[in-house]
Amino acid sequence: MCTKGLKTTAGSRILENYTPSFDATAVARLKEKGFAVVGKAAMDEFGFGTFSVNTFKVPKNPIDVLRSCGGSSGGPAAIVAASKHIMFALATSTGGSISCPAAFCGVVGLTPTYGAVSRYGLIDYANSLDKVGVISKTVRDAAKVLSIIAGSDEKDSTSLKVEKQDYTKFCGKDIKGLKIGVPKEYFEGVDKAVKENVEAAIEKLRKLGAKVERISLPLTKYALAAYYIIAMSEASTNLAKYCGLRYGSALDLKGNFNEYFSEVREQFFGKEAKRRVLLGTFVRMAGYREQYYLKALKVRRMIIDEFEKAFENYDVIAAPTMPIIAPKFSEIEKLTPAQQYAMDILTVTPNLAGLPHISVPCGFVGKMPVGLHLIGGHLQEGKIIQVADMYERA
Amino acid sequence: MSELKTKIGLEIHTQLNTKSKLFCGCPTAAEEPNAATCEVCLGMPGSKPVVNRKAVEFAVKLALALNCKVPSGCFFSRKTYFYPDMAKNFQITQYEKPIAADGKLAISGKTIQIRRLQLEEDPAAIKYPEGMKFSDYILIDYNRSGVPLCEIVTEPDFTSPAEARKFLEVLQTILEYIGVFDARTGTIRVDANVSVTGHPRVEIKNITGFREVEKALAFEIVRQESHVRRGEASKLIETRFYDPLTKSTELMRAKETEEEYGYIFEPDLTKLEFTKAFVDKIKSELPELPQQKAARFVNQYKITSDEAASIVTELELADVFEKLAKIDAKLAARWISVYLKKVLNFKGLRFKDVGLTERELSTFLKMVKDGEVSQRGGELLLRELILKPQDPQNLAEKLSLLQLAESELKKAVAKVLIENKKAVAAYRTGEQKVLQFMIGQVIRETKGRADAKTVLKFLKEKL
Amino acid sequence: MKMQEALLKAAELARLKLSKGELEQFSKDAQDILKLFSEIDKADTKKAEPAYQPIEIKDVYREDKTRKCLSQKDALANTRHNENGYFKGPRTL
Repeated sequence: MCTKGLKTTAGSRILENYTPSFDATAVARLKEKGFAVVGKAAMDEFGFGTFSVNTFKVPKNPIDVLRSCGGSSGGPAAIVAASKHIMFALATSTGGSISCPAAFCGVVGLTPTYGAVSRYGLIDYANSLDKVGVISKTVRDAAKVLSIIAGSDEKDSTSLKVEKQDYTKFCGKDIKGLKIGVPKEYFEGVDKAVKENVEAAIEKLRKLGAKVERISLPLTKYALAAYYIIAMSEASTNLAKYCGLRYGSALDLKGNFNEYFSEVREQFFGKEAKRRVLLGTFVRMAGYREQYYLKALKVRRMIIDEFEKAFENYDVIAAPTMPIIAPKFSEIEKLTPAQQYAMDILTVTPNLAGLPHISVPCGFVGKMPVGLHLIGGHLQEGKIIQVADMYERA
Repeated sequence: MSELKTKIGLEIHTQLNTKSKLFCGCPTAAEEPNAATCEVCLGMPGSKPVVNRKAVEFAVKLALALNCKVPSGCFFSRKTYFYPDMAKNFQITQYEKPIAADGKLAISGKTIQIRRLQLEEDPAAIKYPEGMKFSDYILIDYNRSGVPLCEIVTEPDFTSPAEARKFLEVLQTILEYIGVFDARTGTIRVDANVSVTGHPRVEIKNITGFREVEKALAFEIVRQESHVRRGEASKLIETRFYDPLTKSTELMRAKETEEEYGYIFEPDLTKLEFTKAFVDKIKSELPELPQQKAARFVNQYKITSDEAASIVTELELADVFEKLAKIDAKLAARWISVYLKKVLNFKGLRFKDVGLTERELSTFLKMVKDGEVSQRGGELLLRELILKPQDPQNLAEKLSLLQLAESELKKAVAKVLIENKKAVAAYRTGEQKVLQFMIGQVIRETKGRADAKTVLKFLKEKL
Repeated sequence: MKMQEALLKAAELARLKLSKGELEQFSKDAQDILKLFSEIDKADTKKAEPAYQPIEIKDVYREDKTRKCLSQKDALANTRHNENGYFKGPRTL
């Protein structure tokens, strides 16, 4: 996120020494309220990753330094988890980059509805998927920060015309009678121990008065593909601007523009960035565009419709945030790219649909935290905050 | 040898006359390079576009003026390609959902189909320190980056360079009539697609100036014809540029396949809806268009269609004509469409830049009508007025162009006849030479402000 | 191999100069990843409209007013490739 006068690299060598001349809106709003930016944290390059390993300074999980912090906002989650004084950090989510590290580091991660917080100044990964959110120690703090940063911004055409409100008013409200849907698809392929923790957490919600019911969201199986196709196609266009001209890392001007651009991008993009730009370009190419890009947009519509139907009958959806606990770096190295993408399976669906979601710590496997994911309908941040806060207090 | 037919299609990019750019609040020009830029039009990371309402209204207005169908809404797209003038290496334009499609414009009795009309951002301007071919590096000015452009794509309905040029001239007139373009500050750039029978389509990119478009096309047609006749037509799809210095087209790139733009819908911008009420409102704001105006002039003022066509090429000229028509429509039409235009064209001026007022022109026309200046004198006077607008009476006096009004001249003739009874008598006995003497007397009497031919006419009448 | 050809074209379009090793590696990855992508082939999208954004947003405009812009100095501040007020770039031919 752009911070005026402070280096903003998006975790990439191609912006290694880049200093923006303006603040992102979310940052500016916090500054107006008297907050000060104390630092920038590590992340996967441009948000491309689930473990914050695709970057020049890999953050280590404060609970077990042989394990990943999650990603792509691994740095902020680690800092909030480890620091006594830093209460929250701004983070961004495209496919789950707030929830995942929050779950892996044992902190709260709140991702608002798409458009609830201005994306102005957010360095784009995928414009129809990026959201600015909060990683914090408590639900109440997340709600407080959201109250400050949310609200329409004329500089961002996709920021929703939502009235400013105080989201902390949803804290401390009991959840008796609130209906919680638990989709069976979200428990498939999840580690046994993780599942047990989450099921216990949901049981606790039931004891607190919520009505819990099993539901089915069959279109979930298409979400991962649709998400990655849209995300990569948008990302490949967003990254086109990095070519050693107006800003960012550059080389001496040699050769014609094709040679120069290719040389710069070859040298300064990381492997995952190249992979995603390549695939993102591929799915937009003539002959492939129809079956991949255009189709994925339609699948998104269908998934959104399926959620909307579910939210007609349920206030909140509950599930595990991630299928595993924070993996060891040695385990991550053995994963193929496709296997890494598949780890996002639980977080991509609400992200694809632009739904608000919050991850709260709900137990441990050994000493590693497990996250409970609460998903709400569009602009229903209040409900998920309410449930999450109640759970946290109990 | 069979006649080789020519097919020409045009892609016209016209800058729109808004105060600010299409996606940001920067002004559309500045004195210094890169002084009208911001994070949005420089493509800085984190910046986002927001659409200029006026630009959209202008585009819809133009679409309606070109008889296009305006759909219920439009959506922007990203066209991704790498070039040093691109702030983001993608251009925000329109692909599947443009502002309008299926329009038409008639020129010289032929209808040109307009395939589509879309709104998009202008790239930056490139300067070559040593010309395009020899520069080691280029200089880029982003003042132009983000200026709103309307792209108009025609079907390949043109069959000659002259036709293409005429279309462009008519189009520019329409642009000015509806107030979306100002030639003093905006530019129109043309990509021309041309193919001669037996030769694949060649695109000549980025031609500025309608004369240049005609020349580029003429050159290219000859080039293609000679290739076809020698059996050497290129198989590759060529993109060329026009060099106004050498007056020829040169190869930019030749590829086997078309450039790939990998269009996606622009996720940073929203759908724009065009309700019937909105479209109707814009339609109601359309002024009388040049072709309608010309037809009305012919009908209302009984002037020729050629005269009308010439007068309506500039709205200001048409307006002044209608004022002058109150004095004498036919006279006004002839003097404007022939003599005024002649001077403007010769000097490369536009009427609105000359600054000649309606009052000054009225005075002038009255002087011509009353015979205060001769035909030749009138032409001279008009030319001087165009070069330096001022009161015609004073100028005519200064330049000794004033003739006597007919009534005054007749009085002078009568006076000379009375004062020269001997000469009159001599004429009546058959002496023709006396006429010369009497003409001389009249001219002296009128202090040189008489036209010898007219004097002779009046003398003969009286004698 | 068709995949390598397509990836080479994508690399060219994206101005990524891939080494032989990178191309081979990415081709292998791509096989897997495209299999993952092809999951959506099975989805019946006949009746669905595309969702360009997750929420229906429309008619967001700004008024045609000018705003203060960057000074020339600030515009050029982020790169050493500038000369006399212009950005410098590589040649086009």
